[in-house]
Amino acid sequence: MVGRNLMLHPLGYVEGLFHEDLGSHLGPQGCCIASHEFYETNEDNDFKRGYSFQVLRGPGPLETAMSGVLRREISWGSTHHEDFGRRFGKIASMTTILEDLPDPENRVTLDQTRRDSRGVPAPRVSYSLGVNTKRMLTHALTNGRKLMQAAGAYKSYAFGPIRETGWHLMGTTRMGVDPSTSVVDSFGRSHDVPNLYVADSSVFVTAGAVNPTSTLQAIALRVADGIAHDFGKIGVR
Amino acid sequence: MIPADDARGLPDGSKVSVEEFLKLEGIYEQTLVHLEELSHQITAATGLNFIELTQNQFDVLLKEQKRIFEPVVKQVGPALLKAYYTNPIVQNGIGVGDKPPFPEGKLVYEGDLELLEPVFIRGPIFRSIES
Repeated sequence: MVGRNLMLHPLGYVEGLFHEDLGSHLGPQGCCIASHEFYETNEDNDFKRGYSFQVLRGPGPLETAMSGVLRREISWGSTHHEDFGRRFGKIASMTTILEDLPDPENRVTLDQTRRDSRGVPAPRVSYSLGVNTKRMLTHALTNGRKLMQAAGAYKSYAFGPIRETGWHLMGTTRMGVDPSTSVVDSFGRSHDVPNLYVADSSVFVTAGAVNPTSTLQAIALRVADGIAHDFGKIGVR
Repeated sequence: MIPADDARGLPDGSKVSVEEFLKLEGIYEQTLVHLEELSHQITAATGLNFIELTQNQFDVLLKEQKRIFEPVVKQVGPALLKAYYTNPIVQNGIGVGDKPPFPEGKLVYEGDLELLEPVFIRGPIFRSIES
């Protein structure tokens, strides 16, 4: 059971180009508008659970230039500044976070050959996107582009999953009351190893479709309370 | 590849330290080889001296001789963009340069706890546990 049910947060990215200056390169990067409209299971969809949208700050000058050149929308030569000016500060960015479902085949194991300098086996991550997640991603990207168009974007892009992000590691020591289907109890205490506690997002049973930090902090506090409560008993369990 | 824009006070791409970025990415020597090759090919194809090309000639060639330019553009392009758009003069020109209170920062006089006011108002973020 340990290492199984690895869940990540597959991410999609949506971008809209607007004629007016949005000043979108200013401000903090984090989420300024969030939507949970598509968060819950909707029986009309061909997938279970859902996703969230998070509107982000737009790209800064370098990112604007890099992506513009890559997409051949900013050229080299005498029209460079004009092309750049058409995009800079006029791009609205949004990410979609998908709720990954637990799948026992998505797992972390110990590598049989690779070891660190102390001889500790390296972790080996086996993970692939499930059919449910792929369908959800298609739905989210399509909806994201619709949203940008409805907001007045004259052009939009959507792509995912983004390989470089969404690596929120969850689920590999899942919490539960039954030792045959879980690794730790409701206070993060291992079913099998006395006095071993897990206090991070590994104990999540579901991934949700939002960043996990607040939840894992709450769980860590709960586990800490449990440890404080059990402190006098450690060694006798 | 990036001309100057006098109206916005933007320098041309040769005025930013692109060499540093090429060296940083370990492709400086290779780029020089590609540039020399490009120069020869341009001369062979058009009879023009690459170094003496006007902006208009460069624009036309870049469109018409894409294949010849490709290796250089692929190598120099990202480094040039990094050098150009992180350059303080360019950043000021496009309106993202330092703004007050930067670059000096906010001066805090001894005994002035104004910056800590939100922390004071928020109160403690820890909680006591039952012992």
